[in-house]
Amino acid sequence: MTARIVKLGGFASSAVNFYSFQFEDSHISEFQDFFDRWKKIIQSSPNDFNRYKRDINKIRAYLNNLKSRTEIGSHLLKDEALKDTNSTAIAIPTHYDHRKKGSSAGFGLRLYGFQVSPQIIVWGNGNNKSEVDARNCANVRKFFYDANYMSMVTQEAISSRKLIVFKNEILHINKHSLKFEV
Amino acid sequence: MKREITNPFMNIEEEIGSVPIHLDIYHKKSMDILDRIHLLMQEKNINQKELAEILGKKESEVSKWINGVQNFTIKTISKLEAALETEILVVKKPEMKFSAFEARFGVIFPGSICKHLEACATPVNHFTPAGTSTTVLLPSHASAI
Repeated sequence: MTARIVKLGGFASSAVNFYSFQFEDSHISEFQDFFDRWKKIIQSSPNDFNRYKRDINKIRAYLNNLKSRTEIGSHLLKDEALKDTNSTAIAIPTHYDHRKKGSSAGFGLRLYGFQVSPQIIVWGNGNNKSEVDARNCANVRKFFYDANYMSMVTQEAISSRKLIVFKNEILHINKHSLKFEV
Repeated sequence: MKREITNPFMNIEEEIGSVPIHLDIYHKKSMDILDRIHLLMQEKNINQKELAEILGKKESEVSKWINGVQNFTIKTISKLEAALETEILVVKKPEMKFSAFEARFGVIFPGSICKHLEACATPVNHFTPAGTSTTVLLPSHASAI
């Protein structure tokens, strides 16, 4: 499978840029899929509307505030990199509600991605996290690994100059698809 | 291929509305505090382990504080301020306006006494119209108008 990196529009600031990745079999980015999917979930879950609304708003507030900064320190993002790799996977929010273990409420929504530089973040997808370790959580496992692998292939593409990072931009993104092993 | 929509929140915003302002403020302040702590640590050349030692805490606990895993309390911020020997959170005080005479001679005429007097004041003489004097408190941040 291949994926490509797409730039996300619609955020006011210009100092920090957000990107997402989009798989070849999808017509939308993973970031957009996250919000589209959760819109449908909220619509079909009147009993959980308030909880989901709170979780989604927390993610949105995070994104708004990260985007409004001149640069994003790693301390503002939760490190989700696989150990012993050069992954730069991250997640938001950095803190979550300590809900009862095993409860259907889980720990709330978690959005995964990876940081390319202090001014560039590539967002992936996310879900409701129900286990402490993302690798043991059926809801988020895929998104956790996607962010990790995409971060590594992107770093390789940058190292080999297939993708070029210039200031707060990733260049050549429209010409290049990243090979992504699934 | 479908174009990336301009506002990534557009769909969800239709469903649940805008982000509440207080939530935006909360996250901004939290991030500002975290940035400030990391800047101070950098300036003072203190790493996480050393900060934990100064605070007499476990490194894992301090890590939660300075990496945003745990919410700050005023108590936590105070401990960090003491450890880093500087202010992290600065609360704006109300600016008091006093006449030039009051500021110069350290007196306050009735009607211009600060509401926050008890919290921010130093004792001075208060001259009454009859010429007798009593002691009142003059705010330390009083400025002349």
